[in-house]
Amino acid sequence: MKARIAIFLVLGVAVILLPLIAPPVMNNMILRVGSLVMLAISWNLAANAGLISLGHSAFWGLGSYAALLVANKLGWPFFASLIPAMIVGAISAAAIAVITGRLKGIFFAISMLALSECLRVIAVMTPGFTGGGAGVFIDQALRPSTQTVAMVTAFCAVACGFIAYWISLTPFHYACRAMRNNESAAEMLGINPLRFRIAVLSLSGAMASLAGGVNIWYSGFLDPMIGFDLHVTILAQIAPILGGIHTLAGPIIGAFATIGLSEATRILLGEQGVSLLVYGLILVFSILYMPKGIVGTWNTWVQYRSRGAASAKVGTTKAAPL
Amino acid sequence: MLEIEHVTKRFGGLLAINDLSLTVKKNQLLGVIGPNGAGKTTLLNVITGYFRPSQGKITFEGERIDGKAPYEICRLGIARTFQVVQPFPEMSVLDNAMTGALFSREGITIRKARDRAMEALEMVDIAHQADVMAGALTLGAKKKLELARALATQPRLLLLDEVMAGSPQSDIDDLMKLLQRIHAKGVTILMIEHLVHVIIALAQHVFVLNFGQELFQGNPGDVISHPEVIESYLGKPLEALAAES
Repeated sequence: MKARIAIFLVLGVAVILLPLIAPPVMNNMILRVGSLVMLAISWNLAANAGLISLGHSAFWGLGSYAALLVANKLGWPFFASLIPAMIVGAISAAAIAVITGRLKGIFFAISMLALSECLRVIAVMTPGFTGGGAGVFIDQALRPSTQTVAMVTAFCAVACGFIAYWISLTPFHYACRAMRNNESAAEMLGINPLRFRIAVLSLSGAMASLAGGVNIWYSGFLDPMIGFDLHVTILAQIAPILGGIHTLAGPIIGAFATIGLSEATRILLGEQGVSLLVYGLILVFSILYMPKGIVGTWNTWVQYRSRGAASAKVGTTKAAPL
Repeated sequence: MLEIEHVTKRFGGLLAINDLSLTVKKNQLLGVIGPNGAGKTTLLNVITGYFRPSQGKITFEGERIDGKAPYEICRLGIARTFQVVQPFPEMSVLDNAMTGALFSREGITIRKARDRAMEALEMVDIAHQADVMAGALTLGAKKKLELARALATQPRLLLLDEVMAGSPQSDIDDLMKLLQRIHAKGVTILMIEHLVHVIIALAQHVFVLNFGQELFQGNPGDVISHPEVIESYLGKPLEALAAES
């Protein structure tokens, strides 16, 4: 256990220091993968409690706008701007948790989708505050180097990974899984669903908003279509589903796989059209044939190998190692 | 220990429970029987906070519990099993039982919860399947797990909703012995059961429910020979019907 944590720590520090030694063109990749890792972990945390979100771009966009607005209107620097980004994400997520009450599954998913669209419309309708449809640039004087942004992204992604790992060791993890499996039975065991719902969504919202907040400092420009982009919502769930939903390593592996796949098809098959088609097809088939994701398929394979096909017995399905 | 006073539960025009009063004494093993649709499960749902009674009052150890949420009622020391078993299928057997131990009291550590969960699993005799996913268990084992999960909350009052129904005779014998052991440990039990012979063998006091009302209560021997109870289950004898008409 201690050795494992030590390995993770060393790996984490290496990832954070990567932008210092990697060539500058890599900063873009580190930023994309790091942001997606954060989004995927955030989405998977909520999914663990049975809350399938179809609107993670809402938190992403709120984080982006919060960071941009405190920078432009109050002159807050990079690091300081990330704190209001997280707070806005957490508070709005807590509010959504209370408002949606006991909604689960598709009903919760739809309300998240509506939230994201609603925020996008609000951002368009309030040009005095958000810059409206024309969009707005972040104060160039405050912008740090891309290397700094990449390092902070890597740090935040590693931190999110550690938080997810730490949570998996606490009672919180038991409550979330119990709620996902059967909320009314969980309640009879002393679990107050609303309390855990608020906690898990706030954490998830804060992580996604942090990712959005970091990204605005890299891209420098924000409009409602970028901030509340449906693409963010879709990536936030493709990565954990491809990697392995409800697992610890799944969202991280899935984020690498998703970006890797998108880059590989783009480089091998050209800029547009065919590459996107192939990318989409590979994703569809991966999810069709590996419904448990990369981690789940790996675990099944390891179990199959370890006990041999002949002795495969019903009722001996062991809990997954990862 | 548990006092139900003049409780009524109405679903629209349907009176599921009608002015029912029932007392469970400490260390009692009380059986509740009644034909289908008599309101037995509704009664448990009202006690455990899933339904709020339309009228009446429920107190547990002197504290009023009607209107409280199920998680609050659990923390007061009441546990229940469900008629349709509801284990968490995507969690291991041990994790299922641990969930019961973790949230029923404040501030219990994971390690302590694991010990308490193992104890409960051993008691119902499924500790050897601790690592198995609950969804992969047989129905009999799921029923035992449901019981273990309830026991892991360390209840003072245990409410059982047809734990025996649908089990083969060998499991029923096991479960009966198990319930006697749990009862001997000082847990008060209120059990709903369709299998009348189980109730007769186990219960110290039997309460017969029919159309949401008390039909009769007394010791097991009196209950099965009571004409109204027989009538509620089997109808009137032909001779009696002939005499009436």
